[in-house]
Amino acid sequence: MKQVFLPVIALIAALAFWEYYVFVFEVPKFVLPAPSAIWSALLDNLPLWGEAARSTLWVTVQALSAAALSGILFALGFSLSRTFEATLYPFAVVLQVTPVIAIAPLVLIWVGIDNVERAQVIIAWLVAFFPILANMSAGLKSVDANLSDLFKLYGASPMQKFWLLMWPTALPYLLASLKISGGLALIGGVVAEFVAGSGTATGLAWRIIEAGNRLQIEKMFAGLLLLSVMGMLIFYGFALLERQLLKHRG
Amino acid sequence: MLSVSNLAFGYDRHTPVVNGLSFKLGKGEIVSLLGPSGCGKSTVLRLVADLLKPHSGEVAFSGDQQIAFVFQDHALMPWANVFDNVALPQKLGGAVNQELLNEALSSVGLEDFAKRFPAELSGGQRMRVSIARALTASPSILLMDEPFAALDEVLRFQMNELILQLRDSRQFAILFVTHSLYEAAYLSDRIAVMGEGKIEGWVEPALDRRLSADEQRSSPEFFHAAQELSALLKASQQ
Repeated sequence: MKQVFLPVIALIAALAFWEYYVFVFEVPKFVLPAPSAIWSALLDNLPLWGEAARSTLWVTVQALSAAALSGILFALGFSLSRTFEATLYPFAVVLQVTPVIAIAPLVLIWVGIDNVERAQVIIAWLVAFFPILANMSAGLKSVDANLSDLFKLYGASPMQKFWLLMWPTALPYLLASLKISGGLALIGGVVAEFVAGSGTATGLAWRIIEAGNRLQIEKMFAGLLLLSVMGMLIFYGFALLERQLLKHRG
Repeated sequence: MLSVSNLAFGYDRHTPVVNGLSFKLGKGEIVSLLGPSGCGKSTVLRLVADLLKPHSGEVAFSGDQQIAFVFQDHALMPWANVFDNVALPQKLGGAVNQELLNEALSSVGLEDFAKRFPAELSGGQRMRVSIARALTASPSILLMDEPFAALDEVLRFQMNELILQLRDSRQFAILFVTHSLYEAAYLSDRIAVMGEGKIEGWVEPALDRRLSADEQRSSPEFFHAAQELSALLKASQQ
């Protein structure tokens, strides 16, 4: 209860101070709009924001699904073959350490000229992939040695060993990585849209750029607010899933 | 039913962990391997279970023997409830026999705990689950690797009683690894004292099992066995 109550109180206090500051010091709207103005900007264009949020969320979902699937498959490959891991892991690290903002223009040129969403999904996948791969790899390697011996002793097939031992062992690692990668996929999609600038993009990032070009700062804040809410929902959604799935593990 | 001859094994070529070890285990017999940490006791169990391959020597069974293993850290699956943990050997074998599972659970006194998860159990209860899981494999040979080392003395005594009861009712042989000479002296028909990968000597306590546990533990045979074990252990470490 405290975990919910305290941040909400802090948020209300910060918003009240913000509103008060803007009102008392007559801060111009194009510098810092009041929270009430941001809220109005959001409500006045609700269908537009809804469509933009849907577009951004769809990119995030596609990229995260692809990252989860590829991360799990590669991690499984790594756990089965040291050679496979030694060959490909350095490339995965390169993907992780190269700033996505530097890769984004290339990806946009290669696949995003006629379809920004495709480039967004690829860029978001690039940033979301590594945490899942690294965590899942660690999870698959953390199988209890005695349990592994028991599976061998009782004649488990490779499929039985995977589904009954390796997958449940790695699940906490996977869920932890999804909390991280969910947010990263959202960031990746937004970065791609910012780099694209215009074109066929219809997501929240494009609405923010558009509002910025017109000095509609309250709309920029409204877009930011929606992005934050979306990121929080993704994070806490996975946190809830994690709690449900792991509640018996103590 | 189990014959181990001239067994040798090392994790690298220069440092043997088990070095020319031989012994036999008969039907319904409890043989303990007693020795200090690192003397190769647990490695012998893994060699017998075919989890490790010996460099030389042989592990031979008379006929088709079913082996089950109980580890010190109970090795339960934290994501599975007691019933699913106990059912593991049968699940892996392809057929789950509900009756056998219930029987295994009731024989360790956990029939009311089937839906509980390992995190909700005490250390002693977890060990009982681990033993019940071994029972569902219908073993003729039970390998136990310091199973009660982490339990307090009272629980350890209770588990010792449970093991003797199960051995009497199910007639399986037990190869038991421990570093407690009192536990070895109470539980075992024969005890091999190990030092640096070899058996340094044998002790046969010959306790009168018709007596109560307390009477057995205060009998002259028990103290004599403990003294012999203590002397052998000291000699093996010199």
